[in-house]
Amino acid sequence: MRLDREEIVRLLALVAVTREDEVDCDACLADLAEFAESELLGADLPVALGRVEEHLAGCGECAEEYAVLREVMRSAPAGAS
Amino acid sequence: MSGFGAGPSKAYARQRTPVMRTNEGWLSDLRAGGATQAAALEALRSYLLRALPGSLRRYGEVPEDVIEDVVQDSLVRTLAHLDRFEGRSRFTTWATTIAVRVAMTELRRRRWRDVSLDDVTVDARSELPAIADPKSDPEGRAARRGILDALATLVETALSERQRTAIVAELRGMPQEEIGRRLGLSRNAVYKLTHDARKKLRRGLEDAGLDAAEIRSAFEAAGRS
Repeated sequence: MRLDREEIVRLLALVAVTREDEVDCDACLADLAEFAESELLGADLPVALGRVEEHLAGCGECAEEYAVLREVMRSAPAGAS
Repeated sequence: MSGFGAGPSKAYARQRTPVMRTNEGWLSDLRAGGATQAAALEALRSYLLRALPGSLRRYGEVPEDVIEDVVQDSLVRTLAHLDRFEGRSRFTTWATTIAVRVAMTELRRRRWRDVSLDDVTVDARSELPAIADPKSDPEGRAARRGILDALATLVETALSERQRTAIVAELRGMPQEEIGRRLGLSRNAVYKLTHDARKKLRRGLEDAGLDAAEIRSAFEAAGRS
């Protein structure tokens, strides 16, 4: 399982931002709706939600899901609250 | 599985329950059982069926029956996890996070279903080539090369087989839930596995005398070269 240079560089990028204590995908999901609404409203992000932002920076899947959520919220169909 | 609101239910048709609800209204209606719950489920189902397809299109055309199944599964999960909704957002935003995760998990499963872990963890095409940045000084190049070599060695020596497999598969684009499906782990367990691996690699670099600032600096320089 030898990595090539590009992969090692990407791994180095991940290692460089790795924190001892990170929220996992489930914890991120639990706060994602609040995070998304704060962001879309341009509201100040509560300190606790900073950890969601950190997780999204390092987790491709959660970031992808967040992008879809934002798209849904931007084009939210009328008639639901 | 019998469908929630497989079509407009008679109860829903009879009721004139507005789709607009407060958070408390959603919780109360979804917990009510009977016709009230059926109407709330139908409203949520209808919302998700309208909201999801357009936003998923960037990942390819999603067949209608897949969307129906995704929404159905999402409703089941939403009902099962109602106690976790703390009212810190709109209910529909919260329910959408669940539906998006269900949808993306299904799309990833379909995209990766014919790919094995062995397919993605075979050796890379080449070993680490020299970093050729004519503008950088030879000492800086050697130092960065040293960090990359040290990291490559740590991947081989410091990680467990499972950690190495998960890290390599993830670097090559396999989603965590798909890695987990093949290792018998949940997505969250895979995240913890790779997080532990990254911490181990960082400690290994620190033990070799590199602090976080040097690691970041090496990454930035390597990314440019």
